[in-house]
Amino acid sequence: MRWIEHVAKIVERYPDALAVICHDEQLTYAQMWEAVGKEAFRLRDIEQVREGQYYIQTCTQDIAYVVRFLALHLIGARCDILYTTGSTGKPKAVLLSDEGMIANGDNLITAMGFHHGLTFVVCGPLDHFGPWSKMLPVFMTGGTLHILDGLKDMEAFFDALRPASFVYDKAKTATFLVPSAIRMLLQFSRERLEKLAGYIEFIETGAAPMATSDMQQLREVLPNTRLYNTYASTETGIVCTYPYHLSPSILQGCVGPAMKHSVVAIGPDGEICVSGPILMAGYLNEDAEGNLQLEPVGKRFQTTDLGYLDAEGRLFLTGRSSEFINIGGLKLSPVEVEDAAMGFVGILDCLCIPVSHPVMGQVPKLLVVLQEGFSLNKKEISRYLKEKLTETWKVPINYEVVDEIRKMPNGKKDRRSYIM
Amino acid sequence: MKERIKALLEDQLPLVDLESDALYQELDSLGVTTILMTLSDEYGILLDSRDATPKNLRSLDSLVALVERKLAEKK
Repeated sequence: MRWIEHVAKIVERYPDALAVICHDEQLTYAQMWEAVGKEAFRLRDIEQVREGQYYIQTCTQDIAYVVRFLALHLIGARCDILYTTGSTGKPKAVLLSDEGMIANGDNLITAMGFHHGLTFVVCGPLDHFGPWSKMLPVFMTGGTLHILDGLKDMEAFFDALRPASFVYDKAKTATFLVPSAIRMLLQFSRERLEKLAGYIEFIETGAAPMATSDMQQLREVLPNTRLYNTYASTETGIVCTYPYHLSPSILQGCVGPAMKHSVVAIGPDGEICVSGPILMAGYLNEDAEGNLQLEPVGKRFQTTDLGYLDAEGRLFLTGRSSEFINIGGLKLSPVEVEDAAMGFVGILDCLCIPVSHPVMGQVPKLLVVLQEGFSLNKKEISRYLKEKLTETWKVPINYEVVDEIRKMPNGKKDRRSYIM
Repeated sequence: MKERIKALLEDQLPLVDLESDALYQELDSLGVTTILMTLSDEYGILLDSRDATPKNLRSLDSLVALVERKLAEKK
């Protein structure tokens, strides 16, 4: 049975239930399905989309995106393509499989208890795996997906988590928040969060390490809420989750046992290896003619994360062997920033490194070597980089002029010597 | 106070046009958080997410007014 067939069954079962909310717009399952049918017709007729065709969908963080996503599935197009940060600085296209979508959806349903009647609030960008993957269990169970455009509008966030129609003793909302968002809420909205105790059924976090002290605080603020720390990535799917609301004391670095459809092992160098139906289908590469070709993943995927399994089979993260900078759950290749910065007039050499940030965990900093006679204008280089990198979160906040960038004997930048 | 706030925020938010009268529109959630953190730390005032309204974050002048109001409440 295909993933979309699970959704079709839900539509039949709960036609009048709310399926999706975004700003002032909302659709029931029946209304959404009607829109999906029309969009599928348009895609087939006007855009000539066919079954099995690769289709890269632009993310628009609204109901139209969800409708198009479901319509592409109805046609049978291979549209579950998400971009991840490549170590060379170029994003990599990851194709997910239909089997993987069902397995990942079921992993979340089983581990966290998604159900009909639950409203899941998505604040993060739908072109990232964490927020995107929540469409799977929500539409497989007949829940409601409430899409928000980030966390800037805190009123919208709190309104979404405590709808006016809410009955006090029946918690029916849940959300996914990256650790930096949780820290931000604890720092600037603790009182408001406390008032939601008993209202929020569960909160899942992931995408970046979360401080044990923040987990402890969140437990105190929301004593009746289930809290999960999840290990997942676009390539591996949703692997493990740690229900830290149940733990007598919070275990540092723990992401819990493997979920129902996941298998975890540790490689010879301590790298976490994942197998099971949750894995991506593979990477999509462009051939010489510009056509997308699938590079299949194989049966086991070796991540760049380091960890170990304890006697109870719980996975603990100890670090990463990659050089990515994790900005509040978004992964940045420093090479991408350096390549862009080298085009700025007056820069001879540069190095992008992570520095710690009280809320985001890490932010990028750029060390630059300047040509003689040039000085660094922070505003000018920031704007230049924004134009080249297109996304604000990738632009360094901190800059420092240095005499040279240290190199290793092979001539490569000695990146590790700057990261303490 | 206005110049001090401008200097502090310019350093933290180099991409944001602090002279704009539509400052809130230029900010993302990190920008909003950065402003709350910077002003809290610099002036020893208590700011929370309820203060992060489009009205309070409209311009440098409205930020100054917010800080002055919070300082007055402290006394």
